[in-house]
Amino acid sequence: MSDDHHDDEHFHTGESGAAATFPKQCSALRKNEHVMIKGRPCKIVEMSTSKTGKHGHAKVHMVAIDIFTSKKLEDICPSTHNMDVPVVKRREYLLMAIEDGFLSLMDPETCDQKEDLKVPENEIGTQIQEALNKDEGSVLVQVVSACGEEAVLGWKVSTKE
Amino acid sequence: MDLATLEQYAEALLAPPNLVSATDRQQATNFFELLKRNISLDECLFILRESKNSFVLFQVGQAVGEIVLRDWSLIEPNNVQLAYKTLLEFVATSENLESFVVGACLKSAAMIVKRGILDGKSGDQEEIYQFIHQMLTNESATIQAAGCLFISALIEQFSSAWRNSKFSITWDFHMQAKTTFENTGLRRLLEMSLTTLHALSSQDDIIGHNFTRRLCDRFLEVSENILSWNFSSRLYRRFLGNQQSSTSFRPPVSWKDLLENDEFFTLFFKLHAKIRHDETLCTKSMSCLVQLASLTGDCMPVADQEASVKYMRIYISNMLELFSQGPSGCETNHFCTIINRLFLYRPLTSLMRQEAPLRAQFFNFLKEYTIYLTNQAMQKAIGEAQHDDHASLALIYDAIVVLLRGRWRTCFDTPAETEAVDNELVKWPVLMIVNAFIVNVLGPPQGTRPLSQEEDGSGDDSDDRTLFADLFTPLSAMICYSVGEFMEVMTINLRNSLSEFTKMATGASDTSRLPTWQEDQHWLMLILANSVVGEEVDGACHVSGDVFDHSQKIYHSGKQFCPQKKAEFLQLCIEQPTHDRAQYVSEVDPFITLMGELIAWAAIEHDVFSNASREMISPELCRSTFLCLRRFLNSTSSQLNCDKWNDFQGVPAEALPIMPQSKEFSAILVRFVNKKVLAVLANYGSEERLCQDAIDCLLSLVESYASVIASSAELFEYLNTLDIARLPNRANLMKALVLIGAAANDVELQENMFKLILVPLSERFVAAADQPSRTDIDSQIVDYLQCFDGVARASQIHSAPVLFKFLYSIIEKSIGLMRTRSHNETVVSSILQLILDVTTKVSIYIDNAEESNMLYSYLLEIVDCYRNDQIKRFSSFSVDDEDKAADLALFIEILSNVLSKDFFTVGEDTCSTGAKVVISSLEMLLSIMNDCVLQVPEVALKFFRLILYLVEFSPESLAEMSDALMSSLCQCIRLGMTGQFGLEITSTSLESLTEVVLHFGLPANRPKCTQSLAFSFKEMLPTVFETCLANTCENSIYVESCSALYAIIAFERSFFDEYVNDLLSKKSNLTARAVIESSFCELMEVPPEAGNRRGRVQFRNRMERFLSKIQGLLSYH
Repeated sequence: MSDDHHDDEHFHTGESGAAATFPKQCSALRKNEHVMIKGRPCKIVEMSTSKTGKHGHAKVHMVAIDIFTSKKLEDICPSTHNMDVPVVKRREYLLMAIEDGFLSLMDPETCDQKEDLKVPENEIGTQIQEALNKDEGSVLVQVVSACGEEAVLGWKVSTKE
Repeated sequence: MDLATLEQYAEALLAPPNLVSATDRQQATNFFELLKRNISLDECLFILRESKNSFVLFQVGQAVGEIVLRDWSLIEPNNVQLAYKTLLEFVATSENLESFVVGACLKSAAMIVKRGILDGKSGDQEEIYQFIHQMLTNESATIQAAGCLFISALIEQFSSAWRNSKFSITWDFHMQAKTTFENTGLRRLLEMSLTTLHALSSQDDIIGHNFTRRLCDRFLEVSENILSWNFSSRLYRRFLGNQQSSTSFRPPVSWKDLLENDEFFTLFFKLHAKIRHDETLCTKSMSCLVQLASLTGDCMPVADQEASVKYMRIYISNMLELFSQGPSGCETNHFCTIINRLFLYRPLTSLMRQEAPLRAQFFNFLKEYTIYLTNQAMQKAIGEAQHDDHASLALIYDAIVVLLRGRWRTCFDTPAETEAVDNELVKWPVLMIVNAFIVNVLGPPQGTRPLSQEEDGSGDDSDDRTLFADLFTPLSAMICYSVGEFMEVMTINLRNSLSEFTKMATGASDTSRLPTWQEDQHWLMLILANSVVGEEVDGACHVSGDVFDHSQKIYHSGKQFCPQKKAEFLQLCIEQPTHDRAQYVSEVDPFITLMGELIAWAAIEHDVFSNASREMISPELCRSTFLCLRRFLNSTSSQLNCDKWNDFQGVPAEALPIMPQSKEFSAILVRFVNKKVLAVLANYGSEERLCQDAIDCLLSLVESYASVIASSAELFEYLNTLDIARLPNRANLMKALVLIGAAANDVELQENMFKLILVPLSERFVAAADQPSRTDIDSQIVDYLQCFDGVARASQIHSAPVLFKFLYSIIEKSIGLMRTRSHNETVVSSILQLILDVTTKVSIYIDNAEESNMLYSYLLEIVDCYRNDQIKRFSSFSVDDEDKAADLALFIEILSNVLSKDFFTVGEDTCSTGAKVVISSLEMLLSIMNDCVLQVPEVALKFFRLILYLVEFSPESLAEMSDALMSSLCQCIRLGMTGQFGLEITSTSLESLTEVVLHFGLPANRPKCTQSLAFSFKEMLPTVFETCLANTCENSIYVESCSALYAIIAFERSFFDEYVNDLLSKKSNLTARAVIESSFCELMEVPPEAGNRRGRVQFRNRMERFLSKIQGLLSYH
């Protein structure tokens, strides 16, 4: 069993100082939700409970994927214990341009500029580049942030005026 | 036909992948498919003689059967006989044939024999059986084996129907062939076996010689097959024919002479004594004995008591002699089945009327063996998780219960004999069996339970209460016969057990025995929950009638208990469970004493739990406590039953084994249960099954104590300390709370619950929904949606209007969530689940059209959101993504609910709003319903049902569909009819087609039917006709296909005429053309008319006659 389960008073904090994680009873976690495993924000892909003997108490076994690195992580925890859950935020930005390997983004609601994100070095990065080149509509990229980290994890083309 | 080419293709087909390209392999496959269509019978027989290639022989072996059946009317009788004889001789004389070749050839031969059994075209049947006999008695093991396989092939052919349906052999033909075979061939085969086995049984050593052993093996197998034959029912075949699952031995009356010979029965016992040490032979022989034990039907009618008593005497005396030392390990299950079948299939009077010594010997043997098997089976079941003997034990327990319950039907000559039977059967034997079971499930020193072995899997099936239900049920029936003694024993057991636990909990003794104690207590709870109380399938519990009888006896014996003491005693058990209660033993009814001990245990468990000594609590035991508590509380709280009972038994209500009725006591009981249940929910959230048991326990009080719960200040205080939305079992708890409120029967209490529970939740949900998406917020939203889902599931006819208003505002809010949380699958599926439950359980009770329409307008918006944000997922769907289709299935189910709701409330009005919602959705759904999506069974079934509901409940909506939508709909119906998605979908599609055709057949709608739609109907006609012919044995499909056919013909007669002409011009139909043509003419003698119900029924009757006339003549492939 991992030793990084946290009590209610132990919090990660993000850049703004707001709590970056919050505690939740292990038994209340759900598949497709998020959890911190080994200090990393992950999405739960599999959950199962097991018992130590017929009269034992339930333990929750979970398999999760690091939302930024896609690495698979596992943990097992007594069902009555608390685990940290990362506060994951998703925002959509309008892609204005790509310059020197950095995305030039604009928040469509506030019109704030954001230019500190690199083009992802994976398939999504290539697709975004191609979509921008094709110019078939506005390219919207989805930026996910959690625990002080952020990354582009999706994109779509919007043809609406 | 060039043999070398054939073999070359066969080799290509069988060659390893690195030597042959996919194209070559495909070419070879096509070659053999074509070959089977074009090859002649003579060519086949030639190849059979000349080729040595196994694959070629296999293909040709199959082809012979197919050709003969296909061209039955064209082939001369001598050629038919030549064909099957050649196949048999080929198998018998060829050395080292591959088993698949033997199988294919024998199957073809059997098919030909069956096909000719009615018209005699396959020659004299006796010749076949002589041939079989020669094969079976042949010195050569290969020929013997082939003979046996041929019998198996014959039995398979005559007992099944579907395999030959493509040769237009109808169900009626199969049934006639089967009946004829039973009266001639099957009996002939059994006689053959009996003669050989009789000869063998007189030999000293059967298993020591290879030949005799093998011979015995073969003939035992034949006998087993025949004795297990599913004989044709005399009842209406179409309905019963393929649903008969009984495997009793039910020979026709024509076999009576065979069974009148006593040796028929003794032979198998005599033979078994000689071969029982050989496991293979033993198993087959035991199977024969099992079948003989289930002899029933016309040969051994129940009314013929004399024959029945004689049969039982022969059977029992032989059985006692054979198994005097008890059955061996491999005989156990069969032996128990024999006992079970004897008691089930024979009238018990035939057992009771046996001579006293034999009867006493048998009952004594039964008792001793049952106790022995109880020990053995329970040790293996608990200690090794091996349940073979457990299954056998269940059979014998069931048999004993049948015997106990049925023994009253026999009137004995003297009271002494009645007393003797009671002693032999009931008094001590039953208690001894029950005690043996209890001893086996309790650990040392009281019992002999071994260390438990974990069961595989963690589902409900591995739960002791489910796993051993087959033993608990008959045991509870046995306990009835000595309920006084049982309650006394159990009270002592519980009291001792509590005392031991108290010592451990208080530190007066060490806790090393705690695990053993927990398991003991778990079993005591299970036994208690399944003995003096019981549960019906609907969850209602009852106190056993024998407990009432026992209380009545005590009352009439002059001993009267003070009602006040009962309440005092139970209150003491709840509030001071460790206090000495000895003084009450003589002051309250024994059942109440027992229940008091149970309640005291439940209270101690709660106290230990609340005092943070959680390590002493076993969730599993806690579940069993809840189960037991639930059954006791629910069964003893019901007033209605006690009043009814009181009417005719003359015992006052206070003296009955029921809960005290005072308000004070009710409040104490309710407070206790509330506290215990909520403490478990708050602290053991992830113990799903424990929480469910706890909630069920709370629900058990609803019927009698709803108002008491709703007015309990402690409940709200406790709920205030919890956040219901954060409990993992939130939905079930909300359901329970709503049910309590609805049952409270007091508007003020209901409003109070609404205000204190539902309103705050709704406010928090609205606040969360207004915030931007974030994991913690989204997670809370899902929690709230699940709470509301519980509310929807609790809806009842009288509470629905209030709940609908509440949930309606939640759905309104959910539309926005579908947009803002479109990326979050959990939120989306939670919304859909909520809407599904609202449309299933709530809106169905809403009569107000305005409210329904408002719901539909929201649904249209939800459809729109789903189309915009979710549907793209299915464009790249593969069957591996089954879990992605879960919300699609939910979505389709919602639409079905919407349609059926309309059907009930709006009726046959113009196209309703519900139907508009569905049409709009259907447009979206049809665009994604490709083969892959339809491979998900749940989605496919729900989708085809939706289509049926649409065309059936709202046919006028068809007129509103675009041409493209109509064409897609027809394509889907056609796909559904192919049978690739299962029988239900075939039937549903046929029904849908009928509705569509009927709709457009109406004169008013005819102009709306486009040319392409009419052409679709025409294209579907052959499939409908063939489905009709191929499914004469599947009643629902047969009826639906007849109706669809009738509708299409009524729509456009020329479609059918063209198809019939096409059929008649086929080569294989030429010889019988005249018969087929006249049959078609008779079928169409009354022209079908659209919407003529009587005409449709008459058409179906004519279709029956048509089928019997063209059986085996019409080829449509």
